[in-house]
Amino acid sequence: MRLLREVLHSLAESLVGLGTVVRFFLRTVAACPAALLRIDLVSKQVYNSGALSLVIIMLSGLFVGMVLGLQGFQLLQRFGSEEALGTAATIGLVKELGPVVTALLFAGRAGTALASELGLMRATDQISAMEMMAVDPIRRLVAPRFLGGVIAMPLLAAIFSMIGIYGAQLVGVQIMGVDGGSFWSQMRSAVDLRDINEGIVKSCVFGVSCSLIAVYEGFFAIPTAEGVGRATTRTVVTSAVVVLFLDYLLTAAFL
Amino acid sequence: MRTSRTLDLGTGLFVLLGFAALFFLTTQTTSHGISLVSPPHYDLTAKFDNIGDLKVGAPVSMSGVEMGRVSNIGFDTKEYKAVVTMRMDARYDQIPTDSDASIYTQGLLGGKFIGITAGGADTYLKNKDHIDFTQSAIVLENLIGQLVANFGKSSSSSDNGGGSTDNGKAATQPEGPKPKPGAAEPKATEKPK
Amino acid sequence: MKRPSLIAACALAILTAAGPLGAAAAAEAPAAPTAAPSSAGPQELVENSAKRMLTELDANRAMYAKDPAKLDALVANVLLPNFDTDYAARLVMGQTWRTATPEQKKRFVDAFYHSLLRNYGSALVNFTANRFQVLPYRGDPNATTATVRTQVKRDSGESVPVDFTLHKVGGVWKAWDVVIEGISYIKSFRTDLGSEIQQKGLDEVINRLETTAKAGPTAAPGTSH
Repeated sequence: MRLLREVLHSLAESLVGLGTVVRFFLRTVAACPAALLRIDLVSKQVYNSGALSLVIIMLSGLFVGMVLGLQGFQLLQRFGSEEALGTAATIGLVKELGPVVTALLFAGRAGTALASELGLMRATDQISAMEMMAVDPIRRLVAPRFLGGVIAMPLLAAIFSMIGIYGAQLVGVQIMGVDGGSFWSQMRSAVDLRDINEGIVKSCVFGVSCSLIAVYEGFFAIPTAEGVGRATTRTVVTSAVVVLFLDYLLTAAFL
Repeated sequence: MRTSRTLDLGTGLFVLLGFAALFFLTTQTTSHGISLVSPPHYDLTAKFDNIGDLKVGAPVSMSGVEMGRVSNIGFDTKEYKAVVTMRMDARYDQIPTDSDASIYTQGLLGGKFIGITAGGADTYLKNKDHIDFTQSAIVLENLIGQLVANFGKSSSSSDNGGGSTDNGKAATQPEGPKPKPGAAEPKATEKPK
Repeated sequence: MKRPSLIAACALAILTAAGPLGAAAAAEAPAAPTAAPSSAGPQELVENSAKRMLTELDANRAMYAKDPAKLDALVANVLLPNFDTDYAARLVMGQTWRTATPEQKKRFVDAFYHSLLRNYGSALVNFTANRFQVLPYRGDPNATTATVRTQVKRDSGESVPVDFTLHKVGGVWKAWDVVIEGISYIKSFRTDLGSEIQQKGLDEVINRLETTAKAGPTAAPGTSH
């Protein structure tokens, strides 16, 4: 009897949590048009989430591309189809690695920054102060950060993929000796706009989810030092799981 | 303020880079793209019965040296042949008019490319000229079919019967100049570097 | 009995037989525009060649089987005029055409034609009408190049696609290439003889072809390459 009540209780708690998230998400989205009017706020957040993540994204993109070039070349060599390296690297990057790895790195770098920033504001009562002055913190703080993440993610994913393709080309053509022309021509004939679309849609969806998770965790963080820390780690963990789960859903949807 | 300028500059650069990456992905990696650089060139056409899996962008080479790329693949509805347009580098403008264009395979299972073998004519191909002398792609399945068909024949020892089924080439031949499908496929030296 | 080269033999037969018959047809046809020898289109050329060859073979098959020389004469009479041997031999020679002397060129053309005759001619004896079918030609009537597609039946019964590549030279259609099962024979010869000429020199190759032409397949220097 007690057990049943406990189970029901935790179930109810989860539902409440889910409901909070959804309501928060809806409030944020509703505040976005107004936030866009303050374009200076949004662009600052784009800078924070995007421009400051550039270095890690570009470096990771380069290395991932190079590894893809190496592994792809070794595998294709067994079938004598080295010229298909361009196709393999591009499709792998654009459809999967680009959006997913960028999202994970984004969650790690920008997501934690957002969560800890908002968490600290919560902990130092800045948010309560704003509410008392009848300034909507969602419109002033949350929405610009959310928008910044949403705008930055697809761009970061595209940069990751582009640099990755060049990395693969560097390894495949310059180092391993694949014919440069075949690298690009086979890629061009095999890669379709549909594949690029899939990658862009994925990165947009991941952008929305990672940004949402980050601002949510930050906004509702327990207002202590420990609470902010936990919010930050929860951001990364939740983002990772959600991104990978959504990745499966989207890949299946695009099939 | 200084921080504001760095901010704007950084954001601007980031967004620019992002859109450049998107532009690159959509135009340079797909076939619906735009080619940005184009050295001086001239175009040649040739008709084939079967191009196999020849793709746009495949190399066109002579003696293993790449001289151009396949720029377009069309279809002649009157003759039921594939029409291949080749964009040739303008530096290589001394291809005799009686040269032949044949479709070869890179390596064992690689992509197809076009190899041009020079003829002996005095006149050279110019822009928009047509190569009449062509050899279509040798389709692996057809070769296997011929091999199987040849094994079905009994090889006799008549003079006419130089029918060596050992190489399983098309239509068992008597001695003498023996057209072999293998001969149409050059050795590794033809592969364009 | 093995007739390995029936296919190629038919090819040669068709090519060269059409001329005289084409001329006859033009003369008879009420709408014949000019007195030119062959206003026959490419398809007619091939069909008429075949018909003429077949009529002659059907009438005297035994004689031709016994006497190869007569067969050679028949081919020379009926087939040769419709085959652009000069052009074909030039294509086969490829780059060496530039550096060859007029005498070498003439010798090569003759030797090439005769060695082909020797290798493939004897199989013509078994050419019968039910083994040959010309498919409708769909090209542009004003074109100067054409491909006529045919189907030839082998001994085993299977049908083999044989295509003739023709061009219009001096107002007359002539064939210059045969494509059997996708393989262009002139291209094959160009590759084979080309590498042989590079290795041994043009004179050596001409000599070999002349020997083949005279003595027959048993005297040929083997499959080489």
